[in-house]
Amino acid sequence: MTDFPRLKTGAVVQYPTGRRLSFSNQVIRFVKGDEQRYRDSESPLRRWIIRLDLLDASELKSLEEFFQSQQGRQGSFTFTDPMDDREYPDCSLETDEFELNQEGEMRGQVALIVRENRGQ
Amino acid sequence: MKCFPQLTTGATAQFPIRKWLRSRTVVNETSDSRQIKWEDAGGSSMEWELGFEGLSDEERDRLEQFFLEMEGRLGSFTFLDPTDNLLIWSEALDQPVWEKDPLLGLTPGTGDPLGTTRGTTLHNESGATARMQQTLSAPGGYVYAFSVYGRSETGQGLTLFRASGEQRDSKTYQLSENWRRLVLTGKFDSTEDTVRFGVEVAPGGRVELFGLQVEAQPAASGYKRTLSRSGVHTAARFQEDWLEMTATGPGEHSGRIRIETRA
Repeated sequence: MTDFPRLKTGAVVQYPTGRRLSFSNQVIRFVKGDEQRYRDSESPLRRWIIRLDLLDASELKSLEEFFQSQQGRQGSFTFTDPMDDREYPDCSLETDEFELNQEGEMRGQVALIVRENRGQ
Repeated sequence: MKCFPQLTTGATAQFPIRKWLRSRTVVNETSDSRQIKWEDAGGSSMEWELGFEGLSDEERDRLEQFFLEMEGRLGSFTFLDPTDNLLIWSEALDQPVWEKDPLLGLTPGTGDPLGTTRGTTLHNESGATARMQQTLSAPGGYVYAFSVYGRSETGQGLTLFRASGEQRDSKTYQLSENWRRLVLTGKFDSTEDTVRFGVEVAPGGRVELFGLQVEAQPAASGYKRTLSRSGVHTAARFQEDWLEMTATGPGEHSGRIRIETRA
């Protein structure tokens, strides 16, 4: 299984970085005001928002290679949550688009979202 | 072959450069967030946005003429990605895209300046100079920077060359036991559609190489590894049917160009 690439420093993310937890619960409200709630998923879904700045050419290239090898959101890889070092063995990129912005030498920027996959 | 023009500085683009990679995946998401995915291998594309500032009249004319020649989005051309290495398989020198003399031996997996083992040792067992080269489908008359990291424990020489048609430029560097980045830059007055880059090892020579890179610009930037694709895109197009250049002062112009290609 592929791992998400690390920067030259060994870091996976830079500050600010975000982690989003989401459930997909359903709520049915009745005319008289009562409601019924049930869960549609067995556990929270994790997403990590990764923004990287001041990247050099080889770091940008390594992320570009990673996106291409994953074919956007098609592929699957192991991602280690930088906040608690817990490993998630089945994750994907959230979108089919990857933007690289080079403001100058050693001033590359990218932003991407990693999403935990649920078992089929 | 039509190729996106270089500026008078020899650069193809200026910072900032924005680049997008796109792929297409058909996703069916269930209500509990499970995803069923299908890959669309033919749906991937790349796109660049190049911002230009401080262009001279001549540079503006060059870009406008090229845009007119392509008739906007209609025509296709070669685009040399300013953020990428133009060589294919920059670390896999045993790939067929690298033409080698028969007696030039390769030993991959040797050390490199990054402290890993992605370098290659070249050893010439013959009594004549041995060559290894790669041919690019790119204009012979452009400015290029060809760079490679080299080292030799026995202090041997390594020749870098660039050639197009009958023209050839080369330089021999004396290597030491420390890694050193060697750069050959220059431009031919050529209308050829191909250009060759390579190295030559003297008879009996043994040298270690890493990070071969070609860029269509006057100086080498940070090394970018390539696998089966490089920064030479032979079927690029303008993304828009219009081109707007703004005069910001006498003999000074700015503009923005978007280019796309199916990856």
